[in-house]
Amino acid sequence: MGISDVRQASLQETEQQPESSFPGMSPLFLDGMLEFNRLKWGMEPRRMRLSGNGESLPAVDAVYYLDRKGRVCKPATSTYLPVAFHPTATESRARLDRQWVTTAGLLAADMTRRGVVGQMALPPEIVDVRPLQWAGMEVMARYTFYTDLPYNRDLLDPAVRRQIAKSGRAGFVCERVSAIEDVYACVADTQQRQHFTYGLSLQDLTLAQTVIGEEHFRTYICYAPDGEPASTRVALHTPGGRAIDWLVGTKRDYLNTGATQMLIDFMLADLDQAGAPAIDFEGANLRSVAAAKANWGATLVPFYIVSMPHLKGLARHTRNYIRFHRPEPRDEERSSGV
Amino acid sequence: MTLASTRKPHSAEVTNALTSPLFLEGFLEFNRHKWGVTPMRVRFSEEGSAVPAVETVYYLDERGRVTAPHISPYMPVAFAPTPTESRARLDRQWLTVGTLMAADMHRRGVASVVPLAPEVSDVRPWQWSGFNVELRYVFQLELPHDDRKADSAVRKQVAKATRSGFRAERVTRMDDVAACLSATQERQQFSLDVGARDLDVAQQMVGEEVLRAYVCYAPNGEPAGTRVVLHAPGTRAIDWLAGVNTTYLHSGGNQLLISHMLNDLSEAGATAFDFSDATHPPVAAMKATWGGLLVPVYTVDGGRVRALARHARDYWSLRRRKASDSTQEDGGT
Repeated sequence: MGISDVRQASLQETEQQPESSFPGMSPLFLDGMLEFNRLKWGMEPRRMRLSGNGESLPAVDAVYYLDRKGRVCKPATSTYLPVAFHPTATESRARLDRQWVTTAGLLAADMTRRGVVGQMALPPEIVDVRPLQWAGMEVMARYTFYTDLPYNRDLLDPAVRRQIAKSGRAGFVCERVSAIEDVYACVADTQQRQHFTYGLSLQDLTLAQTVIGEEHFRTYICYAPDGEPASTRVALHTPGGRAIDWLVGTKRDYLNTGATQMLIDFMLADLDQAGAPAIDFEGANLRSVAAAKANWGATLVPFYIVSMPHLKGLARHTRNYIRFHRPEPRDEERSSGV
Repeated sequence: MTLASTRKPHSAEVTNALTSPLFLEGFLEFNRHKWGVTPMRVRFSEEGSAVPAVETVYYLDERGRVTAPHISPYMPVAFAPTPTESRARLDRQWLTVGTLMAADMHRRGVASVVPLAPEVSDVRPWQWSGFNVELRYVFQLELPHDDRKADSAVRKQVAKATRSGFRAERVTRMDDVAACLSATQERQQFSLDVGARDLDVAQQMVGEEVLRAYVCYAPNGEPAGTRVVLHAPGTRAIDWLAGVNTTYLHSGGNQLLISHMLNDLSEAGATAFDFSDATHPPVAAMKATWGGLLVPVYTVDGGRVRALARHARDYWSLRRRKASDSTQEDGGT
């Protein structure tokens, strides 16, 4: 699939088009998400629909975020580049394969033409990244966990069940709330403890809540018996779409109280009631975090990160080469949370 | 944690349940004989427990590094968990034994790009051990194959070849096989480095039931196409070598051959067919017409200098393409 194919293809940039609505739509396609990313990161969101030969189907929908030079970027807090494939009504794998290869080829050619800044995570439902490889992009595999809703508590690790029971006995209480200050307090504590940042201030969270809306930007808090916020989670949700476990935080004083486990349990029940068929726990790539997430009866799912070959990539390859060939063992280093 | 390493070239398979023909003794011996590598069966488990465990076959080069023999499809990997349905436990078990294997490969060194069997969907143990991990694809077909899953064009091609008098059969005459393999190598300018004699030796070592060669003959008796498959009953058969005589590229002979092969493998007890490479665009397009399932395959290597060179090549080729594209755009306006 060459770049020139794009010119013959039907390629619509639909800035004004309202959020497309289709079964199983990811919350990342919501107008509110696009608007939040525009206001927070100064990037221009653009809804794309790519299809060949003037046909409406098969097609690929995507949301680009463009920088000032018109290149495709990734907002720092955005999980995946929203991409959805709409085939014609067929169950033939051969036909589906061809339709995907054709339309994703258009997407890949269009992205390479515009330029891609940094690494772009594709949503896990995109299993076949060959069209992007063929367009010259580099691909890395990463993993996340899915839990289907309603989740089967029998699959829960017994240790997790004990933690939930423990916090219940101790008088912890979970709520879906709009007290964004409490959310921020827990997130800030975790950021400080683990030396990372989501890049979101209290004002940003307030903005997100307002722009995305409380039904889609769902904030949960587990309160300690004394009323102190102990743990928080923010999920992105749209009915019928897979929810995303977006932001998390637990105050250090409540790390071993079971508050986190109780809150996850509460959040999963709420999302199920709100019509989410599953949740994406967002990431299974850090050894310590992956183990905790695996406890929720979750399925490990790969997703792929694509990037254009760039000089920074050469530096990364060089670093990997040196790391692999240096004599000292790596295990100890990694278990310390690096 | 201990590493149990068993090197028993002439013993029975370590696994009780054979999961892939790539574990068969004869195939190990063929690779030793043909490529001068040393096969080694290895099993990793925690100290004192038989399971969870992971088993594989290493091929070691003269420096003791793990390598992938030329044209060997995958490094076979068999994971044996404890009897549990808990996903969390299975996940932990895989990470434990997979990490032992990755650490052992890291200690020995890796001399080439090693494709892990498609069963390995969770490649985190290698990522966490510092390996460079890349992605390829294969198509897999369930057996018995339902013709309706293939494109109608495939069925038409099969019918056309049959009407024209082509016939497909399983053979032991490796000269006909080698002739078709050569035609494809010449046309596509690559080398398998495997001749009729090698195939005879391979078939003697692994047995006719395992190494199954198929040829499609043209009405004039000329070999039109071939496929060589590795098969063990109860496992997924693997498409090992393939070739088509240039004269018969559009005759439908190749489709007739594949159809015959799938039926034969199914009757011989194969549970599925691994159509191998789906990464090379024209090959992938042909294979896709059979309605297989696209499955990722991960390759691991030790961040070789060659990977750096490849990255640099990709970088410059993309720059060139972009430059040429903008020239075309300028010309077109």
